[in-house]
Amino acid sequence: MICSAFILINGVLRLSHLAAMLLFALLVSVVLACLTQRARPGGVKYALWSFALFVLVGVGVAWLMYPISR
Amino acid sequence: MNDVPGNEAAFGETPVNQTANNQDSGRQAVPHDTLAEETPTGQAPAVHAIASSHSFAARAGRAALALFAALAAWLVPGLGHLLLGRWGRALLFFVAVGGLVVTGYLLRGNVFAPHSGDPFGTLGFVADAGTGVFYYFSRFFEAAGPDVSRAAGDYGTRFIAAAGVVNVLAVLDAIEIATGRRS
Repeated sequence: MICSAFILINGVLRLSHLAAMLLFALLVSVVLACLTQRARPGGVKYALWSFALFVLVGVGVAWLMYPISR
Repeated sequence: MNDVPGNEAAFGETPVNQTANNQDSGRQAVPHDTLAEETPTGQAPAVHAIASSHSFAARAGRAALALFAALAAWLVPGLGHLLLGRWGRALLFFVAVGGLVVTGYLLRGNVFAPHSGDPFGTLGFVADAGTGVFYYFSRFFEAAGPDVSRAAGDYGTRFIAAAGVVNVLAVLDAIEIATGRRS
């Protein structure tokens, strides 16, 4: 589902909401881990934790907003 | 020499009681040949002048390096860290910031112009300008221009702004490394 959401048509990226959120969470988590942690094991752990929190909070907020979405 | 009970020091270390005795007498431990010319602070004038000029030169060098690294890190994400020898971190910053910006452009996100005449537009420009040279690549990637009528275009706007903010954090990190505050 996520892979099929990455489609480039005439220079415009077609990205599903979930795929956009996952990509954003991944890239920002990597940078935050790189900025705050100097040791490699701690950095990887921080990046994974940050990514999980991004996704969990994003899905949680989306779930809370679902009743007022339409 | 070290016959005071409980004052056994390892090789090369100063015994605790010896340091205490020097502090009690109000004088730092300096070689005897400089004692005749010492200043009230306990250092010879020539030694003090050389040390302070060296520290001033070192601080000026670090400040110049920090400025250069900051400018490089802002212009090309990761370049500042590359110049400081942190090539792994440089690669990560370049891939992450570049990935965010290019994705934002491909989603047809809005790129704010310098003179929008609107406070939010100005804030958006400040965030977008943080991406350095990537800001000027918008015309290359967004030939059709932004389209925020769709959710994807709105996401793209956030991707580009987030990339700029993240790169500003990377610039601050490069400054701290250059000044020796971080490793």
